[in-house]
This record gives sequence, structure tokens and C-alpha cells, in this order.
Amino acid sequence: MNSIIHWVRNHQQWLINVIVYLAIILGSLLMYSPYSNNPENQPSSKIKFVYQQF
Amino acid sequence: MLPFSSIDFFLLFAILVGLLYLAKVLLHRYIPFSGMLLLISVIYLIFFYPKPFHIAILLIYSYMIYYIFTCLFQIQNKLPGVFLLVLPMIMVKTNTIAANIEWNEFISFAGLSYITFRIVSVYMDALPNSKPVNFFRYTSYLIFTPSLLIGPIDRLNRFSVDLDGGYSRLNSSRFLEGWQMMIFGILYKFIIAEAINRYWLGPIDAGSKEILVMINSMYAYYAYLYFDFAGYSAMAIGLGKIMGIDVPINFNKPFMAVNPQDYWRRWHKSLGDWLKDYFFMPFYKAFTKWKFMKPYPLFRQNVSLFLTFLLMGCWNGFKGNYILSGSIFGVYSVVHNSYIYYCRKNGRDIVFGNLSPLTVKILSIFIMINLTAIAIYVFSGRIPF
Repeated sequence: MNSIIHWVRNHQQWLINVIVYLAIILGSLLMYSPYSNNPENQPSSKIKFVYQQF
Repeated sequence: MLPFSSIDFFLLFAILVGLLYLAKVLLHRYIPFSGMLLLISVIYLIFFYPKPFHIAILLIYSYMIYYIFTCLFQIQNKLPGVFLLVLPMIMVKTNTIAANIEWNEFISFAGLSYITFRIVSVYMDALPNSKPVNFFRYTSYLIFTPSLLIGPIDRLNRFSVDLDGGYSRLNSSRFLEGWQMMIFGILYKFIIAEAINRYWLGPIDAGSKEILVMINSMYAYYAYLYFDFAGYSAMAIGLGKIMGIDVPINFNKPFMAVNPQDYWRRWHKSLGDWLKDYFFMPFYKAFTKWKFMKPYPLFRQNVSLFLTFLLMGCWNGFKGNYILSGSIFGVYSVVHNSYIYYCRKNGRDIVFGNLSPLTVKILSIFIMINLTAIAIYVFSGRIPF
């Protein structure tokens, strides 16, 4: 158990990066790929920022 | 093609940043770093940004006012100059129609508000008898692509220091730091904010008057706004770093804020700083000169605070929800300021008494999250009344 905690502590930044990249890849597949369940929301040109209106 | 809004933008900037790094190696003797950055911004603006001509006109107009008021006539009173500088923005916000012309069409362009903020800061920071800012530097500062659309609101003096750093500001450690920020920004905006919008905020019936639905709508919008805006800011800071410019941070764990003052140091920080320097301080100084306000420092502070947030609401737009939300933030700050004043006067905490510091901190965070969520909910215009 201690060795696992030690390993996690030593590789914290690396683990965060892996999680972030995985989240981006999976999130993109889920929401932006042609195979996702939201075909009406596909075009990336629809992307706008909330604060853009100001 | 607006900044960070499509894959095309990222591809374009991969090429332009590549050229910038290539210039560091091959052209550093012929083209200075500042010139190369300006060139990139101008290329993007002319060929890819909507309404480049409008921006060019605003730049020339604002520089003329800056030059005439501060350099030519050295007018001490900044108010007329500021009024002329914010006039285009006011005309757009109020949708002014004069001489049968809808001025919105002629003046409005994406990012007008944020450019106006930066223009005002240049004018306000100009000291009498100081050397005028070079027009190319002025342009470079105002149209710097990463912060062009919605900030963070940088300052010319800080920007100039980075610009003068030259090509040495382009190095691998800064590139990696910027890359890391951009990745977090992409995660926030394109994955988390998008997921919140599609699966949490979107399905909520905003017109429902059921209290639980309204509470759900309130938290959903707050989370969505945070990830959307913080995501953009992180991408802007990241790309800025990659291009050698340290764009100031905008968000720093806002949900950990313990009071309104702390909140504006964490949520849209660059706007909070801007409001403090160019609204709050001038108001406070002006009120100090008023005879009837002189003996009441707390009253002076509170009136200045409230007016600052009220104006912030008006800046978002002359609509009831924006003005009310600004006023609510103003009331929060006034109440907190008075609380601090009376705590100091009584030599004890008049609300939390003898509670442990940790308990006070947890309670404060909980209260702030909910109070700010209410104000942002009003701001969203989703209240069904």
C-alpha cells in the first residue's frame, strides 16, 4: 500500500496529464465524433463563448 | 474565425507560432520580436477576424484621442477623454439610433468591450508630460490575438516589458508551460463546459417556477459559466505564453473564496483589478474631496464599492438582469466592508464569534458559493419572473 502511495506521489504530474488527455480524447469521441448521439450538435463552428456577447 | 472557436484557429496558430519560432532562429537580426508579434496579429486580424476595418478605425480614433488629450493639450481632467473613448461601446450597448442610422451595425464588432477596457487603461495610465506610446506598440497591445476577444485584460506597461524581452522569451520551458495551460483550457471549455451544457444545463426547463428546478438551473449555469470562461482564459494564457507574452491570470479557484473581496481576486481577476484601478479608486478619491462625505470614510468606501459594481453591471449591458446582478455584487461588497469595519471597531468577530478559524473558513466558503451563485443566476437572465 505504502509503495503505491509513494509511486502516485512521485508521478502526480504524469498521472494528471494522463487523466486530462484521456478525458479530452473520450470527451471528444462522446460529443464531437460522427458516432456520438448528438448529431445536431456536431459542427464545431457552433462553439461560442458565454462572455463573447459582451 | 474567432479565437479558439474552431479547429481551424488552432491549425492556423500552429503555423503562425511555427513561423515565430523560425524567425527566432533565422530572422532575429532583421525582424525584432515585437515586429514579428505585431505581424502575426495583423495577419490574423486582416484575413481571419470579422470586421477588421472596424477595429482599425477604432484604433486610429482612440489613439487620436489619447494623443490629443494627453500629449498635445495635456488635459489633466481625464473624464472627457474617457467619455469619448467609451462612447462607441456605450452606443453599441444602448443600441443608439441617431439620424435614422443604427450605429450598432457600423461600430459593433466581436471584442469591442475588451478592447475598450484596454484603451481606457492606456489613457488613464498616461502621465502628463510623458513620452507618447508608439502607435505600433499601442496596436500590438490592443490586437494581441490570445486576449483579443474576451481578455484577460492586460496592461500596456506589463505587456511592454514582455515585448522588450525579445526572442529570448521563446524557449522550451515557457512553451511547455503554455501547452499545459492550453490543454487544461481545452478540457474545461470543449469537454467539461460542453458536457454541462448538453447533459445538465440544456435539459433544464428555464421557464419552470418550481424552486428545485430553479436551484438546479442556478448551479448548472454557474458551473457552465465557470468552465466556459476559465477554459477560454486558460487557452489565452497558454497561447500567450507560447508566444512569449505572460497574459495575466483570470481565474484562481474562485469556489474557494471566503469573502467578496477575495472572490474578485479569484473570479475574472483581470476585470476585478481593472475595476479597482479605474472605477473604485477614482470614485473614492473624488468622494474624499466632497465636504459632506469627508467625515464618513466607511460611507465613502461603500458608495464607491456599490457604484463600481453597478457600473460593472451596466457594462455587461443596459438590461435589468445585468444591472440587478451588478447591484447584488455591490451589496455583497458593501455588507462585507461594513462587517470588516465593525469587527475592527469592536475588536472581535461580530458574526462568527469564537468559532475556530477552520469552521469560519468552511462556513465562509459555503456562504460565498451560494451568494455568488444567486448573483450569477440573476446575471444569466434565466430567472422565470
